[in-house]
Amino acid sequence: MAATLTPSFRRILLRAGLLAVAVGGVWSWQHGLAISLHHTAIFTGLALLGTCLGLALFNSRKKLPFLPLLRAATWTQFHIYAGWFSIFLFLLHTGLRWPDGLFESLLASVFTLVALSGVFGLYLSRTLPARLTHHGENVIYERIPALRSKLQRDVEALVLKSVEDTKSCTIADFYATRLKSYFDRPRNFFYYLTRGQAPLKNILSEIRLLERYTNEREHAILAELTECLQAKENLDFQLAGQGLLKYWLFVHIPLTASLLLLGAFHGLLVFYFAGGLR
Amino acid sequence: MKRLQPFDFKSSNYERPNQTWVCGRKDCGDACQLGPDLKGNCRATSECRPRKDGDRWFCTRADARGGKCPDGPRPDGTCCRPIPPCVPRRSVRSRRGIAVLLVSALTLGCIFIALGHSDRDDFFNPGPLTAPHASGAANCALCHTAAQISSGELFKGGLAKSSAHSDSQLCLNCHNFGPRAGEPHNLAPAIRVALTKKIAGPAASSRLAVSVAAEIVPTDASNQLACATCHQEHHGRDADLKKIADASCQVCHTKQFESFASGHPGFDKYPYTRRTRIEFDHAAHIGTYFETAKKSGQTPPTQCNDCHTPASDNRLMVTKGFAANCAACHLDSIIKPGSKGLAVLSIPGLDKKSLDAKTPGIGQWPADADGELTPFMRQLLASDEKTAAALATLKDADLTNLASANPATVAAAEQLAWALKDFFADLITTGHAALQKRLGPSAPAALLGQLPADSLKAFTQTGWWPDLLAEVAAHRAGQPPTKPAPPVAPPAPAATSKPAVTNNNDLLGDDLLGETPKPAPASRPTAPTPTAPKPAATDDLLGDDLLAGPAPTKPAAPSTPKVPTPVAPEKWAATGGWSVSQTDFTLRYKPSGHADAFLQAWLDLTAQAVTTPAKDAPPAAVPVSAAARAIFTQISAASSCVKCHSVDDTPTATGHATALLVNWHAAAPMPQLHTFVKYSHGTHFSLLDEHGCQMCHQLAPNAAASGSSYTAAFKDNHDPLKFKSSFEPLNQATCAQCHVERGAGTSCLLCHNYHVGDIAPAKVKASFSAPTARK
Repeated sequence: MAATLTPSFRRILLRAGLLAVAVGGVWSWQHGLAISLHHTAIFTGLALLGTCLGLALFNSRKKLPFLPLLRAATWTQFHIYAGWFSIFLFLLHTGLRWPDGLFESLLASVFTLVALSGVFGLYLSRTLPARLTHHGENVIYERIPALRSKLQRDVEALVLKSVEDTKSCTIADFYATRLKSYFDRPRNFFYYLTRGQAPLKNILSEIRLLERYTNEREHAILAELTECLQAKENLDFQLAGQGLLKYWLFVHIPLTASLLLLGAFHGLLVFYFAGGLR
Repeated sequence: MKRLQPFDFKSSNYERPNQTWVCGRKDCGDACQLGPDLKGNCRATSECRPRKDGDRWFCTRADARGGKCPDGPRPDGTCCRPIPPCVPRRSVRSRRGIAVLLVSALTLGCIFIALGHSDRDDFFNPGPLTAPHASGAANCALCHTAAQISSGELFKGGLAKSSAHSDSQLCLNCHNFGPRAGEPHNLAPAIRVALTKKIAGPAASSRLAVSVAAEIVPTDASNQLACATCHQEHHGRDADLKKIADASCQVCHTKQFESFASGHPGFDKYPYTRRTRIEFDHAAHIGTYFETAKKSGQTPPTQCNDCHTPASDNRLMVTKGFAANCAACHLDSIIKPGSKGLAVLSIPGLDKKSLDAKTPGIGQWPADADGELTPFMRQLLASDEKTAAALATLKDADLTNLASANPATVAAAEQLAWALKDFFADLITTGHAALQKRLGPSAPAALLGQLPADSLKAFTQTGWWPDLLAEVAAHRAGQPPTKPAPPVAPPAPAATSKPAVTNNNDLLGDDLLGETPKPAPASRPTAPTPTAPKPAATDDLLGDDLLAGPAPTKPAAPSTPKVPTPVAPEKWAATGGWSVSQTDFTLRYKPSGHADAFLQAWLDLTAQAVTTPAKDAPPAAVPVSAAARAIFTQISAASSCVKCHSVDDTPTATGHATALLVNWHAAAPMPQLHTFVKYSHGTHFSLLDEHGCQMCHQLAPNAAASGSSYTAAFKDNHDPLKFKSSFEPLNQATCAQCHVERGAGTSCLLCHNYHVGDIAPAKVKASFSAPTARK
């Protein structure tokens, strides 16, 4: 059976197994400490803080690409599994109950947000790249605004050309009243997040309606215009998808910083009031 | 689909998303190649920097930007296509970095604002305190030493002052667990070691987790456990501070086991861990005495609750007391109708003649006194070292015959005589203070206060020592006693022509020998001389009538009215009280019933003087109490108290010795005394079957036969742990019927206390102030 497993699945199994071993080991360790009259919250808290620091190092590692500190993919995998492990440590630390104090509730809330955003980011990183790849032309995120501008200029040139060639302003009017706003800026962000294509379909159906009133030359121009519309829809989709892949970190990373500060202060308070490690 | 993005070398710029700033015209697709500098300043000048080749300038615009422009550079070598400056904007990464800084600053700001806020404690409080603590804990410093450290001290090693143990000391400001509050079970190490040895044995299939955890139990050189090790606060008002896992109990114990039903150490003798405080042989009473009483028409108890009743806390079963349980049969053995009572004070007999001859003299002494010192007197006199030594010397000496005694015995007898006189003189002049001086400051009031002043005066001033005070004063001044005074003729009785006959039982009286009436010795009392007329019929064997032959009939003497004689003191005290016995020179006391305060105080006082050095006691730390033991033995034999009330050896306050303690009461609830096992009879009554109490408390099958074993444990044995119970120990299986995991529960703390010993309730501030005048 092992021969039928793909290498990637075997890797997943291996990592999941390591995670299970770590979870089981820590749970046993915590249980042993608990019944031997140690303050397990202090030890699990230290482990949690250490794990969070380790997780935060992932961002630092990304800023130091020149250092030979393992591959980024390895760091990513470590970050993912250590993240799951930190959620387990958090549950162990809190004893599956929400804290009673204001400060500790704030700390737990921040951790929960960090964890949820991390899980959300993991979901995005596991689903969006494939969708982006299969949706259309892959473009670099930073180039999208420039490409959109270029596309808009191309469309406007096409429309002007249609007026010159066909001596008709049907397409130009349609562009001015209906398409210009579509090309002016990114559109339908939330539709693309939900995989919806209704806006594009609506515009394309309107173009098909327009074909009834245009001649052959205008049909060719409308066909080019349709391609531009599809390219714009792809740019918007890429912008939404890649933007999401970048901007979820605007929640995850700043809150992680806040979490580390609050966690460190929480540790200080505990050390201060509980009389040190016992 | 129309392709928008070229990737060829000439038309595709290299993107650097990690740079902080990007060109402001990037979104328009018209970004300059230079881009902003590191500080975000636009560096745009022109589309190229013309290159001079010889005397001509050439355009250097990149192919990606359209290649060489058709117009070319200006003659002065500048580019003809200047780039209008832009407003650079931050990259996504840079904006994210700023977001991180903002959120971090916001977090730190919130923390510092909270630290400086008046509601700081509320904000950082990790959770509500339990109700008893919440009411009194107004600030953190009440329970946390860390909160008592000023910010100045904090950075000067002040934090080192804070520890779990220092916090525990704050707990002990209110909770009292004695001097060993921090030690496991509040017990001394030696006791813990002894208990460990007692139940030591191989582990009974303990769980792996417990076995492993036992290896990592925190060990502290000081052998101290912080309160917070087990009691964790800030978990809500209704949190159970005493909650602890059963496994946590086991990790410290050498004998680990699976559960109560499997592997729990046996009950051993429980609950009969010591002999009863009151000697009561259940087997003999139920099997013999009650049957006899029934046959004689009495109504003896027929069920357990005739004698036993639950205590107020419903935990312990207590006896209903002497009056309800014992008086019907045993009261007479206490009041002893017809007995004179116990001799408390006495004047012993002394060979005065020998003493006067061999010593400077002992002054007046009743010649008829021939008794011995009472134990009470011995105790009083033994408080003086010289007299104690004298008493030791005179241990086996016959004080009434010192003619052939050695000088040491004579000197001891003289010392005893003067000590005795000194005591009585002291008693007359200072009253109870004389007793307290000799019995010690701890002498109970029941002992001192019950000695009647009138009886004491009567005892010492009956004429046995008419010059006692003068003699003692002279002796204390170092003057020899006055020699016996010349015979003093007793006053002639008013109602008879014959000289008074002294009560010396001299059968050959003065009349018989026809000599001058022999005066009574000066030391003899004169007061008790009867003044009644001599009766007509005397026992004068050689009287006139006998020698004169048949006597002529005498005229009948006129009838004399019979004068009633006062009741004898002993008769007066027949139902209890004090009496002075003129015949044996004693002051006697007779108890009027059970629980007599005087006897109780007397026995307590003498018992506590009977000490036994502990094994590890330093030399001379405990006074030798052989004499005290003898006194206690005499007193306990004279009184019938210890016939039922057992006497235990109990540790003294110093711990260097044990002293005797009379158990005046049967086992009674002691709410402050926490033992390892806790049990409530009240909660188990509903579980009793047709056997009732005997469902658990079964008389031993051979209890009647071994009754002597039960009573033997009370004879000359002061160790309460050496005993033989009349009952079988509890059967553990009986408890395990209900106490299972899903039944009545098997938690360790269900039946066991962790803290043992005398645990007082939480201390309260009980100070009061004087009332102030109301305005």
